[in-house]
Amino acid sequence: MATPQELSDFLAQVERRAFKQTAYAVRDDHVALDIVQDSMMKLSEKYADRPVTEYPMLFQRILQNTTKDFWRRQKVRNLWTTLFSSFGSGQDDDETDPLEILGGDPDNDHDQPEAQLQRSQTLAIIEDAIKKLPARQREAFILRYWEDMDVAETAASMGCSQGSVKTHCSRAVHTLASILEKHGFSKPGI
Amino acid sequence: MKTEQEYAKEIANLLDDSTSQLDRKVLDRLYAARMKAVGQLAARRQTAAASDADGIGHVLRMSGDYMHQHRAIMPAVMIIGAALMVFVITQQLMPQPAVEQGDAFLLGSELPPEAFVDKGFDAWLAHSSQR
Repeated sequence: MATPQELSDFLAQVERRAFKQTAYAVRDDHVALDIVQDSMMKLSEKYADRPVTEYPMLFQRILQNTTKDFWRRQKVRNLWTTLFSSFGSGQDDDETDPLEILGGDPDNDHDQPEAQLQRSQTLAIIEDAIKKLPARQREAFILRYWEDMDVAETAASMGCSQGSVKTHCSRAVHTLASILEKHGFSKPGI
Repeated sequence: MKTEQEYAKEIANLLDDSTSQLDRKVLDRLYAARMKAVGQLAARRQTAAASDADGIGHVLRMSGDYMHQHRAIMPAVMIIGAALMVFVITQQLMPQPAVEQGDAFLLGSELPPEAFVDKGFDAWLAHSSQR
């Protein structure tokens, strides 16, 4: 059973990654913060009697379910918006080619040191590419490589088979590689 | 040539760097959320400990007096107590279904139950997450 200090240490360790991961999915920082806060409260309220070693998987599961609930709410809201507004459809037609966004010239900030600028540009390209991944591929990639879970843990967190995790991860890496290659990054030997 | 795993880890390392550049407001909000969750747990622990201590003292006093007055029915009480204990232990050892999968969760959630049985949700989510 975890003590408040152990819970605090665990949350401190994962909160930043949880926020970024959720922000990639919902693309809104305020919503992402709300989801992370809800997930922390649920972990503390419902699973505090579990051993600390189970926390990473439990927290990921809660985070994903809370994010899904957000999307469910969005879908219900969108349904009513579409029913009552004849102007609603225009907003979603704003389809943008991801490569167009990634290809934008970010050389406006001439005052930054070159290395720092290059790093932040690289990061922006990667973050954009991750946001564009299909939801399940993004989840698998983040859990497996960012949260450092093994295939079995990732499968348990995502509620799918280990084979699906491997497929999602592989597809995610290939998609990221092909996007990044267009920006001059080296491609993995796969 | 990098392998798929090395390439993925390289990207993950860059993402790690991105967490050190978070806005102050975001960090404050995360800290507040963490403190709220930890505070909730600490408060629950305190309440549970206090009620346990009160309960044990009260039960000991009452049971001493009661046992003295009703010595004749004590064997029956002990048998019923043992049966109850066996029942509770059996319940504890049985695998518990995940809390979030149960009917109580569905009924207690602010989302309408239709939202959870919506067959088109996964397809809609996959489509909208790529937009």
